[in-house]
Amino acid sequence: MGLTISSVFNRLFSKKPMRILMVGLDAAGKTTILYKLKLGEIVTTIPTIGFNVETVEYKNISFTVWDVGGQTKIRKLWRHYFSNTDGLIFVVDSNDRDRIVEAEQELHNMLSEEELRDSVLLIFANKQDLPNSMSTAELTDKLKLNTLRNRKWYIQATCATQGTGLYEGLDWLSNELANK
Amino acid sequence: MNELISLSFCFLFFNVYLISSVGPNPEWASYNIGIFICTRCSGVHRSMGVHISKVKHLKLDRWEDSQVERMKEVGNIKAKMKYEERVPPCYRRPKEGDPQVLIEQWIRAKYEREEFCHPARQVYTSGYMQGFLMKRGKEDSKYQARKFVLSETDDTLKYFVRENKEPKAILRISELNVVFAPDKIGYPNSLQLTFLKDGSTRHIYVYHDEGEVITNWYMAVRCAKLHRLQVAYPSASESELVHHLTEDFAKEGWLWKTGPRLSDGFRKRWFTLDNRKLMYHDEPLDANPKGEIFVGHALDGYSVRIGVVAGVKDQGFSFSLTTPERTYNLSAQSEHERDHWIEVLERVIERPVTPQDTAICGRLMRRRANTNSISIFSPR
Repeated sequence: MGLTISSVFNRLFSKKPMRILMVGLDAAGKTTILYKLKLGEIVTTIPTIGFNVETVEYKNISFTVWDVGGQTKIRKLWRHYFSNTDGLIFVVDSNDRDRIVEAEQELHNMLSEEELRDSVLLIFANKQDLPNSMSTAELTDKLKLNTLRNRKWYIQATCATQGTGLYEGLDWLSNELANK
Repeated sequence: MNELISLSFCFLFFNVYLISSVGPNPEWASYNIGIFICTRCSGVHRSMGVHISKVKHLKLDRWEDSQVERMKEVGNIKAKMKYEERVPPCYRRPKEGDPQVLIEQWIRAKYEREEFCHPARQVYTSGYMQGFLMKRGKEDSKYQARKFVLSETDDTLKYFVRENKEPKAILRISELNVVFAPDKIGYPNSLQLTFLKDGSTRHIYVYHDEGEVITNWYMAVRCAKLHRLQVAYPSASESELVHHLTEDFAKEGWLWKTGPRLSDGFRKRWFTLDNRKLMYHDEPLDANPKGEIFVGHALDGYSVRIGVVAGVKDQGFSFSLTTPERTYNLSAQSEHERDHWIEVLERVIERPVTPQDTAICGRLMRRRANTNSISIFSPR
């Protein structure tokens, strides 16, 4: 008898792990998103110098989400988190029109890395509640998402402080993982 | 290159910085506003959105020459002159360690709402305020929306269970203390209202989803109190009076205390030191204290020391508070806690008693005489 009861149980009920790397320019809302998913509430944040990591259980998947600081000179540290990443979440401040080109460049730089060849890309168009925020269509254009080749990607409008859009994004990630 | 410049000039501006940010270490800047800020404030600045404030780290971000120029051109002194031009005297400016809601709303009031450039936006100075707050039920502990009305001319804060009926309670603003109580209540934007009713203290706990609303209520109470004090003490200076508007509790926490008899064991109580009034409760969010101890001056027979009265079993980290009526045997959870309680109580005992303190003492005493009980200060 190869299967014990507990291993059957594990196979039926244990959660699939998924390693997620969440990056983006500073002040995009990464830490707020992470703790909204983890705790269901809005925490008071200070800028992340370094990283935060939390495990979020959702729909039979155990997401390990790495939230890495986005200040200009610590972005080069992102690559230390690349290996074995199943899904990338790139968070954009939809209200920050001045820095959308900078965001686009950081995104495309990162995607050219060999280690991220197989990771799927979820973009959170965050801060949709702010008055002058760009739509997902406008951001798709400005982030040049249509130029991406051999990459599964999805853009989701979010407002982390109200919690809108976040689980829709995780739904897409979990479907992608199931299809892998 | 420009980063070196930004670094060198930021040190020049270090002292300047200290006058308008909350915490130490100005490692951050809002480069559109043109000010240096601490890490805690930078979090608040970022949460307002880049249309209000654009934040950079002094070393971990790249600086363009134009941004460095902007910082040199404005700086904290000029920004303060502009954004804090007309801060009403009743407004409580936050210090490091103050509740997050107070710090956040101070920053939002300055840069997002520009309240201190446009006094008409200071809704809390008008002497009248009404609106709904979530209030904790005295019996069922559930929070329900209740209408509150503040009137400076009547010196009252009323709240209503049903809008068109008589008020459930009428509080005298001049006898009211208001403190932020986020940890205790469990909501970030929450207040504890403490006042005397029929000779004993009553606590009311309220919160609101919006930090701005709860801060406005807090400032409205302070403004109304200030105006009334100015009428009562026409010769006193404003800078003197603003210290008597609201007072944070000097300390709160669990202690164990014995009853009045030597054989009584230690019981766990939630203690709150509100100015000269040391109250104890069964639970932190009780509507009434079980007892309250007026803490007077050393010359009138008040003292605090380590250890308990002879004959009482020493438990944990004990200390005793002596009043002319009785010695209270108390015990803290740790040595550090005990020492801190002794320190804050000593500070009160050394402070001269004001006429207002005496009035409160008198009202507590009077109730004791009326009810004919042995002591109001013993457990009910």
